[in-house]
Amino acid sequence: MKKRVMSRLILLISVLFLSSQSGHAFELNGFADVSFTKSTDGADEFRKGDFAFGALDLYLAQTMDDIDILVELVVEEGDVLDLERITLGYTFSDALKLRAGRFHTPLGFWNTSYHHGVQLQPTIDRPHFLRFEDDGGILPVHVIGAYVSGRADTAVGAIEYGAMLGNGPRITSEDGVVNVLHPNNISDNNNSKAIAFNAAISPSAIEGLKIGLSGHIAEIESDATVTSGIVDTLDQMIIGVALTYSIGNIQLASEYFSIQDSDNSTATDEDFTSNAYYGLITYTLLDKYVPYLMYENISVKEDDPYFISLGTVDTREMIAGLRYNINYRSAVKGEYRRIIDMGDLDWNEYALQWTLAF
Amino acid sequence: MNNMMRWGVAVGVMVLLLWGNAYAMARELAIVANKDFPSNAVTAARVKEIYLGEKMTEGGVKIKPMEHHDEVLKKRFIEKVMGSSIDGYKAYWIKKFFQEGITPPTNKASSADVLQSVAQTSGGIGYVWADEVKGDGVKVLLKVEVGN
Repeated sequence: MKKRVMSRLILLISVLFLSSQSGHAFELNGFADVSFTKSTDGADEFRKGDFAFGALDLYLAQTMDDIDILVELVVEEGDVLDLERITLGYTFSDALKLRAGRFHTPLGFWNTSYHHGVQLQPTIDRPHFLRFEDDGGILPVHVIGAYVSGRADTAVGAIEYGAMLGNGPRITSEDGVVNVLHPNNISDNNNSKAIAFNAAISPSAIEGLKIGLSGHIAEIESDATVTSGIVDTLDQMIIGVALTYSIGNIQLASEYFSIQDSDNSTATDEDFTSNAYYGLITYTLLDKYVPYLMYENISVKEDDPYFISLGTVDTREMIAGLRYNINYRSAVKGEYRRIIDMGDLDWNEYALQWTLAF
Repeated sequence: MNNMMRWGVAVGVMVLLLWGNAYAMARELAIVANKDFPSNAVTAARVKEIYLGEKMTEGGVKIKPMEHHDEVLKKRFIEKVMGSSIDGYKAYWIKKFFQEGITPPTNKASSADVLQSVAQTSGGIGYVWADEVKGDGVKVLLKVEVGN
């Protein structure tokens, strides 16, 4: 596996080198991070105190004869190479842009603002419910499809919108042990396409405020290897509300998602509504020091087959942290995490992370 | 004229001379665009949107912003027009480039390069010192006083 990763990286670097000899030189950029996490007790994976290199995130973007291309490759855990994003795009006007490929689902604020480069996000990790599919995330944060978006200045403020059509996700078994969402990269496993939308307004009356609404509708099936949860198919509707507000050195961000699952199996034929939300407050001092506080909550409706398949449990977590910006490319973050409740367990974690953009 | 009045006149003349000298030395920065650019004038707020990659088209023409390599001029532009620090501006573009794949303004080595590229590029827009603007292929959309 490592040989395959290395050969692909060498291929990528060769392509970049050859491109530099042609008229369209791609500039390779990336992110890297190293972290240390220690949990005090509980059944936590970090109880021994673990150093870990995070993701090596390589990306390139270029506009060639008015066609935009963006590619993001991530090496995770040393031997997993994922093509996280690849999009082709064309900008007709500020009010109409078309993108096609694999991209982040236009759901809420965090998922469209922060991708894999952790240097950009204020905290060490994403909120639990917004984690990537293969990290145990519960929302379809990646999608393969087409996306139109745009922005317009109006009398009441700047309005942004987006609408997407793509493959819906499925639930599959990873290593035969853990079930995860899968974005169906190559083909859809049913006839129903997933649709998503988002709309946001930055009202001119309140500078620094942005309010958004987003949604995602899909039919979800699970692979035959998944033995728990979804029996037949499940219709899912996700509705999200996001709010960000900057006032002086203070930044607030909060998102709430309602996840409604309708089980189509003849055995149950039930509806379930679960929800997840987080609130984050940061304060920027001298452009260098950014203390932050985040609270996250996931409330799962009992017997919801979707969450049974994914093994998701009720979760409450409080994080207090400090980010120190060494310069505009690099930062060190330190966090104390209080896992108040995760499946009736509770424990503490301490984490450090050093990140770099290059 | 008594001594008090003479001193008053002398101090007044000195203040006027110093103010005039300072005014004479205050430099202006010019936002220039290709002569076929759909607008003949822009506001500083619009320039900021363009250089943040928020506004990408104007009247059906794709805007192609260009950056000046000269550190002094670039610093004045970023601080006075963009209202940001150099590091804040660079950090913004790392984020924007990564998030949306929008490429940052292209760097040009000198004012002559900026003027030449803007003149030759449909939708081209750039900034130079106002007293360096020359050539038929560009037009000035905005002048901004950026201090000494």
